[in-house]
Amino acid sequence: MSLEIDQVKEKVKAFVIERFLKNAENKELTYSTPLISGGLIDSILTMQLVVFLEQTFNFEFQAHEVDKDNLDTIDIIAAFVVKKLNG
Amino acid sequence: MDKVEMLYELLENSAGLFPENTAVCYLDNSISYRQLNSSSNQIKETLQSIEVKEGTRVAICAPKSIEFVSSIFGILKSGAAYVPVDYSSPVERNQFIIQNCEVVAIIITKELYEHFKNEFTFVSDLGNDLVIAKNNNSSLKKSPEDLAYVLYTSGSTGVPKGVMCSNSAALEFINWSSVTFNPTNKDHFSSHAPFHFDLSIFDLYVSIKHGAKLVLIKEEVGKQPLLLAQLIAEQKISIWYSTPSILNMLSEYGKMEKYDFGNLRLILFAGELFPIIKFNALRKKTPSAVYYNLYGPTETNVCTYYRLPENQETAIPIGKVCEHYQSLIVKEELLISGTGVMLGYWSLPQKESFWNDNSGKQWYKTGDIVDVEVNGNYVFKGRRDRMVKRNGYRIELDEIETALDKHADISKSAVIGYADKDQQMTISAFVLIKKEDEKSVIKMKEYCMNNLPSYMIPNDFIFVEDLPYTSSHKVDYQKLKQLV
Repeated sequence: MSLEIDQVKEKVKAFVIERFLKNAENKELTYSTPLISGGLIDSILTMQLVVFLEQTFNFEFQAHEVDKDNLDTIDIIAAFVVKKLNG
Repeated sequence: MDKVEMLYELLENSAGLFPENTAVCYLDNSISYRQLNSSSNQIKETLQSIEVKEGTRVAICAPKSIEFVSSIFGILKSGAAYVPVDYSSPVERNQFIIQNCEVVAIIITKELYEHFKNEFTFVSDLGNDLVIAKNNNSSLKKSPEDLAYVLYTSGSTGVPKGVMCSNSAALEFINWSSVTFNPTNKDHFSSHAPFHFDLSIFDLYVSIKHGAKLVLIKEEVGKQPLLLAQLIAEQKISIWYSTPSILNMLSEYGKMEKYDFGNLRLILFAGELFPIIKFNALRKKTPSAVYYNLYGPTETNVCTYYRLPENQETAIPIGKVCEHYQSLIVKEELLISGTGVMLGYWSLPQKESFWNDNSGKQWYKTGDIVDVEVNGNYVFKGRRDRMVKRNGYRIELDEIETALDKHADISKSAVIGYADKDQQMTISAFVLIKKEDEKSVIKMKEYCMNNLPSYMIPNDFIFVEDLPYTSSHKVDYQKLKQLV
């Protein structure tokens, strides 16, 4: 399955805004906004993001992969998702 | 065995009875009872050489580690009390606590020591990135008698307040736990809660008292359900204690079906309500465990408890008063009396927290509104004041407002807490902002990240032009609640 990295970014951004940032302006969130280290999502919201990614892009996180290093910004998330899907 | 009067004697006794048993393990490292006793003796000697003694306090500000546990016992053996400080909280908050508590010394990571260099002089290296440093100020207040530790919690005046607990009060609770839960030296205890959180008192001292193994859980793993499920199974944890939030996160996201939790015989939870639907979902995944709901503010530690029957369908009660306490309800509020109650708040007036009855007996006023079921169990109904619980942490909403009001562009803030449709505590901040371009939820959260502990960051920010007021000119929080 080939997936454009920009499509991943758009889908993740839409999810983050809808689920975690209901009173924020759409333009506030950029692809490089820190989600975890910026205090936008806590550990439970991080897991909701993980479940969303697993279901939307059809892959499974290994336990050690659920980490800020793979999830802190939309840019990082998209790169990780594409890497996982391309094996 | 002589009667134990000091917490450190629990370690000395177990070091005599089970010298080669593993006392504490963390990641790939472990330490036996003999080694833990001797390393804490070394720390005691270093501390005593810099005037740490009875009547003084020593702060510890570091992530969990075996050295942290040795330090706690080293401090207790020197006769002083320990003050655990959340290393992950903003530096200014920790500086406040360390200054407020007038500690004679600190045990702190090298990195964080940089912020305390002006007030504390380096004494020695403790290994594992920790240093001991001594306060340059030598005129420090004396602790009340028998003080063992001071736990700082959120304060309604906008700054944290220190709850002072004695050795004898902690031992009352530990001995009650021994009788109630029958731990043995074959048990593996979890240490999930950070040491500045009162749940850690059970983990640390009940496991050490019984010669059991204490499994320290790294903070990052403790918040990550996939790794946590793996750790509980691999470390063969038999006695687990945490907040319901963590258990619920495990149950919902931990993929528990992948592991065998057959060793888990006892699951204790405290700190907040466990919604019954979520509790029953967890129970299906660990059916062999016995479950207890433990209740009590830091000021009393656990003061009521409830063993879950095989079928619990209604809201989980907080149960009946522990055997070492007495309880009373006055105007719907739960009052507690007994030798387990705190000595008081560090350097703050005590009057408001206590009530003396006609016989002169002192009662601690929990501030919690409770109901009594026909079978005598208490049920938690709410709070008298503006304190809320989120993920088991108590939060005075005034502390969030105080932090927001310090923001240069915020002219006024009002913060409310309420249970959302999933019964999760949600905190919303209403903010009056001076500059249009500062109206950013992301900027607000970032500001909070730098100025509040992460568990206090509001879920939502709502930018308003004005706040509603009551006829007595106070912010009308009830009206704000209707807006969300």
